[in-house]
Amino acid sequence: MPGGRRTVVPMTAPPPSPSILVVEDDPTIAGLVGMLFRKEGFATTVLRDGRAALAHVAREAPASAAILDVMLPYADGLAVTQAIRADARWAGVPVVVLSARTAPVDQERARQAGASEVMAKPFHPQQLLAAVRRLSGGGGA
Amino acid sequence: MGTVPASELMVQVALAIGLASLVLAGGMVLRILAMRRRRLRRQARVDRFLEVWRPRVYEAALGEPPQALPPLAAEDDVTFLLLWNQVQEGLRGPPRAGLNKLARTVGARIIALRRLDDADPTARLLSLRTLGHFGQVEDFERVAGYLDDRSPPIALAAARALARLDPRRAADALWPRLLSRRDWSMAQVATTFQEVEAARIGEALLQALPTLSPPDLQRLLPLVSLLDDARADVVVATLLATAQDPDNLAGALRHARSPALLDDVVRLARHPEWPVRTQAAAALGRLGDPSNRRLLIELLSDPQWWVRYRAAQALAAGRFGSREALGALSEVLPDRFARDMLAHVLAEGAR
Repeated sequence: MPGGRRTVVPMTAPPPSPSILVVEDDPTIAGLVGMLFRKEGFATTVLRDGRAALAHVAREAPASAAILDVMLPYADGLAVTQAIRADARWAGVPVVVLSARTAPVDQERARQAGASEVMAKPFHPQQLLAAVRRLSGGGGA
Repeated sequence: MGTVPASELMVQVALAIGLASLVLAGGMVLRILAMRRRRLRRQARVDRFLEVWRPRVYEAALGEPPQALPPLAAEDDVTFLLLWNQVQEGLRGPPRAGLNKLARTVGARIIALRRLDDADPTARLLSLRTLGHFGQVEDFERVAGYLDDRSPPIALAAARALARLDPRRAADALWPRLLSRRDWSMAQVATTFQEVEAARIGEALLQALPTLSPPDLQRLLPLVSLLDDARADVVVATLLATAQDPDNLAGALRHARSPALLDDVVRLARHPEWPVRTQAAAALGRLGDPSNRRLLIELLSDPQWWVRYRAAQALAAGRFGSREALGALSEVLPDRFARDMLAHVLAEGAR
């Protein structure tokens, strides 16, 4: 196109969708939490035990937030929280611990392990969503 | 016609027995294979059902608009009840409205009422849980009939369902059974009524206190957790002052919450039975003040390991001096066992 002017449209990649790591051994709760966050536009990884979670944290890029059950096979949620805090890439990821045990001593233990928030089971889906959004600075649809 | 020799007869009998055993073993193998095949088919059916229904139940729980539902086959209704109850019990708040709407659509209440007398105890249990979550008060009487079921899980499931249907009536229906059903877990009952009508059950406990035998009292003690602090103090104080049975005393000390009970706790720290001294030491850690430090140091030299351990934990709980001060104390105590125990507990706390 001689003499014509070419308009260059800058190509910008769409912002990556926020991601969430869910570690929960109860398939019903895992499925519910997974669907809750997928529906809100989060890329969701659901794992069923602590060993898989530790391997995920060691290998994969950090998620926008993590939701961990406390009672998990192989390694409990608090051990996974500690591993997240000890990993240079994951250290800043907000961790919400979901636990049926919410006595002050259990909450304190979770916070000492590095949990950003402790929520009781049974859980309220909208409260969980709000907590993750607040801790991860927004995100989702 | 000649006679068959005895040895020949024996061989024939042995052959017949061998053949029969072979046939029986073959029959058993075939039966096991058939059972395994049936179990696999049933599991495959459950998996297929969950694949279709799980997303629908989750969507209902998360408030999504209801989609067209596939028909629910009679063979799958217990699996549906299981899934629906699991989701109900995993969530709190408004999601339950969406789940109940879904249950109404598939006729879950009718299924539950029909399955209440099922031969399968799982179906009975799930039916009771379903009716409780569904919350139709007119089901109260039907569910109450299962409070006297011989199986404790079924009876306790009925109690839980009743607490959801009408907490006040449930508490009244439950109290006489708490005394008679020695096979019920009181911790489970306390959990059931923690959020509903705790005061009513607690009040009944308070009124019955003077008439309860030591074993009944011991069994019902977990219900003290249903009482507010002031009322719990009344039960615990009554027990601490009057009970003779060491198990009752130890149980009451476990529930002591108020410093108003300290005089009794201090007295019982010198009780001849070590389980009582153990719980008294633990209670001092929760309720004690600096004036009890000397007594706890004394308990560090108790002949029983558990008393020494709880006394050291009580000292390290924060009311009786800094870790540094306790560390220094652990080096100068004259009794070797006391020194070792305090150092051990301080090291535990440092981990």
